[in-house]
Formats: sequence, C-alpha cells, structure tokens
Amino acid sequence: MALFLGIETSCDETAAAVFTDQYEIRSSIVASQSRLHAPFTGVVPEIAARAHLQQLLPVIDKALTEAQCRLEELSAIAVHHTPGLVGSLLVGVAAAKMLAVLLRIPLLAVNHIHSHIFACRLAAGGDIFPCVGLVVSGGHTVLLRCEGATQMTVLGGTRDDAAGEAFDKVAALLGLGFPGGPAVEREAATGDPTAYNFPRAFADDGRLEFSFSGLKTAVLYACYGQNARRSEPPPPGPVRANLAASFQAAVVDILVLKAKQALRRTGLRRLAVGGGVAANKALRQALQRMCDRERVELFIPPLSLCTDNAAMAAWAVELWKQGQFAPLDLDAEPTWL
Amino acid sequence: MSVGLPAAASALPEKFKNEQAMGEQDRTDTRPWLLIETSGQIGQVGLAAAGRIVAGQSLDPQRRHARDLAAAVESLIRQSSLPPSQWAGVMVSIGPGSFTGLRVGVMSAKTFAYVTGRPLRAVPTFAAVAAQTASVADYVWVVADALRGQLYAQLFRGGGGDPQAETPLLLLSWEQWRMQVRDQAVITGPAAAVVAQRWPELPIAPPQTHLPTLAGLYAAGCRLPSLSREQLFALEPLYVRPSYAEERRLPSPSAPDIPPSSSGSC
Repeated sequence: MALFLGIETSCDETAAAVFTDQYEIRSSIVASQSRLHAPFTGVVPEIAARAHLQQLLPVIDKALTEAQCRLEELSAIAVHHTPGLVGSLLVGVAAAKMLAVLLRIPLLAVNHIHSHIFACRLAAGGDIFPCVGLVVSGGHTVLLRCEGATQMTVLGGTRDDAAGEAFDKVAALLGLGFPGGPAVEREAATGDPTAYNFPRAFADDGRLEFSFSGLKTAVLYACYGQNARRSEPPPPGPVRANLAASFQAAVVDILVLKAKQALRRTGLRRLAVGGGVAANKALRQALQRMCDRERVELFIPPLSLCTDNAAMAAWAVELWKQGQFAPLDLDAEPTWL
Repeated sequence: MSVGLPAAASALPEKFKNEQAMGEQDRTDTRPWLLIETSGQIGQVGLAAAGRIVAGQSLDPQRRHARDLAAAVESLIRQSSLPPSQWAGVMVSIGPGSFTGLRVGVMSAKTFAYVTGRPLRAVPTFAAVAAQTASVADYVWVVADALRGQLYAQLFRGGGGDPQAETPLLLLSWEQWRMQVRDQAVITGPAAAVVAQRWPELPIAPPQTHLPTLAGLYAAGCRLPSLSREQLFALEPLYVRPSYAEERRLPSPSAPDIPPSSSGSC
C-alpha cells in the first residue's frame, strides 16, 4: 500500500491530508483563514500567502501525526499547483518540492478544479465517471465533461465573477459579513425568493457560460437605488432577507439550468458537483430535483469535501498510477484555461 | 504611517544570544550549511563549511525563484558527500525584500529543517549585507527600496567583521532617512545605487557589497542561534510593513515617527 501527502494552499485554507492508493483518507487537516479576511469582506491575497507560510508546516505535521504516518513512509507528494492565488500556491508548491527532493519521492502536480470533481468520487466510494462536472466556489464556476479522472475538458465557465465571489460581495452589500456563502444562506432562509426578479444571465440561450457581475449590480441597485451611493446596509428584517433570498434564487436557478443544458448536450447521465458553493442547501435541493426529473445520478460530497481541502488531492493517485510525475521546476499557475 | 519597527527583535526574540561562541563553533564545522538567499531578483543557493563557501549557484532571474530553488538544492545534494540529514543545517535570508521571493526561500528552508531535523538559522538580510561590508567602514547604512516612496534602512556599527545593529530596522520616507544620515557612515544595500544618484555627496560602499551574497549570509548566520521547533513553525520573513490592504485601513499619521539616532557621529 502506498501513502501520499496532499497539500492545498490555493486560496484561504491551508490544508494537508494523508491518503492511500486505495483512496482511503487517513487524515485531513484544514486551517481556515476566514477570521483574517473577515474585516476586508473578501480574501486578501497577501494576507492569505502570509498565513499559509505560518500554518503549512504545523498543518502537515498534524496530518502526518493523525495518520500515524512517518515522512519516510510516504510514496509521493501531491500539491495543488493550479488554479488559484499565485502567492498562495507558491507556498504549497515550494514546500511540496522540497519534501519531494529530500524524501526522494515523486512530485504530483494536481489541478485544484479536477480535485473538486474527484471529491465526489471519494465521497461516493466508487466510480462516478463519465459525468458532467460542475465546480462552484469563491474562485471558480466551471462546467466540465469528465470522461475519466484524468480526462476532463472544459465545457464553459464564468465570464466575470465566480458564484462564490458574488455571494461574498452581496453579503458585504447587505452587511452580512464574511464568508458570504453561509451568511447569505442564513439570511435567505426567512426571505421570499420571488420578492425581487434579479437577472439570470444567459438563461435564454444555450451557451454553457455564466456571468454574475450583472446580478451583483442588480442587488446593489435594489439596495441603494440607481445612483448606487453606498450608505448603511439594509437593517435586519424582511427587506434584507428578501434581497438575500432573491439573490440566492437567481444564482441557484442559473447554476441548475446550465448544469441541465450540459447534461443534455453531452448525453451524460451523471452530474458531479464540487466547490464551497455546493454546500448551499438550496442549490443541493434544486440540483436534486432537476436530476430526478432528468433521470440523472447526482454526486455532491459532504461539506468537508466541498470546501477547499487536501484530501481531494487524492486525484493524484491516478497520476501516480500512470507515472505522470511533475518536474522539479514545477511552477504555480494562477490560471489553467 | 512611517514607523521604526524593531521587527527583527520581535520575530526572533532569542537572537543575538551566545553569538561569539556559536560563530567559532560554526567556522570549524566541516559539515555543510545549506544557504538560501531569495530576498532579491537574483536568488542564490549554496553550501558553506569550515568558514568558506564550498558550492553555490544563482537562480535564473527571468524565472520565479520557486521554479528553480528545489532543483538547485537537489544539485547540491548530489555534489555533497553527506546526505542532507547529516548537514549542519540551513541558513535562510529573511528580508526585508521581495515578499514572494522571501516566502519561497523561507518555506523551502523551513521544510528542509522539518524533514531533516537539522537546525535552521533565520538571517536578517541587512545583517548579511552589513557583514559583507564591515571591513569598509565603521558605520554602515544598509538600505533597500520599500516602494511607495519609502525605504528600509538599518544602521550597523562595524569593527572586526562583526557588525552590530545600531538602530532597529526602519521604514522611512527617503527624505526622513536622509536626515538621519551623518558623515561617517557609508551606504550599501540594494538601494545604494539609487542613493548615489539622489544624494551624490554621500559615501557609497563598493558595488560588490550592495546585494546580499552567500558569504554575507553565512557570516551573519554563524553568529545566530538556531530556532526552536516552535520558532521554526512560526517563522516568517521580516515583512516590516503590513499588506497593502491592511495599510489602507490604518489611520493616517499626523507626524512621522522617526526614532532618534543612537549615535551622533555617523
């Protein structure tokens, strides 16, 4: 049995995990930076990179300890090297490469988006391919055609903000705090999702793309009027709850619609959804309803595998089996499309 | 806000203890120290043992330090007759300098120490530059561009190749720093050439002393204690200033905070 160490530093979670070549997760440690970014109502790249540098070794150490694994027992090092915040990725890549050099074991370069899809495979405990993949997070909103674990092609993505980024920005507009996803979801729970008819970009055509900037602006105008002069956010009450619920409904509608279009276009009968926004209950329920109607099998991992983590880097086992090792001059790549 | 930050002292509170004893021991140790310097545009990696640099290479300035540093260390491992677990340890330049470059160097050094169990010494970059300039003058100002109209500066008193910091590491406007400079000090550091253009009347150290070298890093590192495990885990570069986002949230200063010079003669 081979043991692997996975490393994740692509955004604002510092994570490490130990897993086996049978996809058994021996440990998965995540150190969140939410508290550091909360005053800025969004992730600050420099603050994120600084925090990764301080947290990564303790997180790795804890992952190894929990897994009862010694460094010399590792067979390979897997690291998310793309996509993400480059300053953050560099911290993980630098550590991973030094580990690989000193332990004289292979380095595996892992695509963070592919890992989010593979989280569904981990949660399912069996094969999920071929499938349509939908990754929705603070940094990404993308649809993929996944013929196999290492055969994923992009069907379409966002033209501007990611869905999770829109949640963060609307949460800031409404004075709900950071991170925005859970905050908006809580507020939306008591609101009327039909109170405001916010735009659903590209709903009327078949392109597999997303756009959330117009939606974000529509919420801004609904809050502050067309002149959009910022003042105090709406106070707690029905207006704020209705704004949150209507915004969430617009995001959910368009994500579900585009996933359905992708399924119909590809003819695939499975949908795998990953990323932090996939933790949203309204989205999960709406996707389930759509998949039931379409007679499609839906895979969504539990919350711990939706948000950024290193266990999902177990995708690297596929690379390891194929002997696809990364060179030592592996670089961090902020974009991958 | 312009402030003098005793960053070196706060980040590593146990530094500068038992300097002389540790220096003598290190200069006779034949086991190699891994040296990592990534504070500037040209990164350097090397090995030093028994008081001299025994191997070294510069990283390609056209590529990120992160791309080539690990491969350079692997090359050094192949050159060494000892495995890394038997090396003396690692010395790393911790700034001030390029935030990203420093993070790559510091993360690599921390990982080296963690994997091998060997000691890590965190060397302030200006102490390394002062060490390589100590023979030039009794007083040395080390300066580097901090961008946004400011510079990092620190005054060292030389003497016998063992420079001592006379001021904390300062973050000042260029004009504020110029008011601190007295006659006897020479100027060195990555921004020395800019100082020479701006104030031609100031004495500038020879150009080969301006940028941190592996020799300077080693000389300064030999006078420092190794970090404990807790310090190793918590180690970060001498950023001196907060992130830009945090800086924008700080209140504007009503007046610059310039610490007094500790010596009136330099």
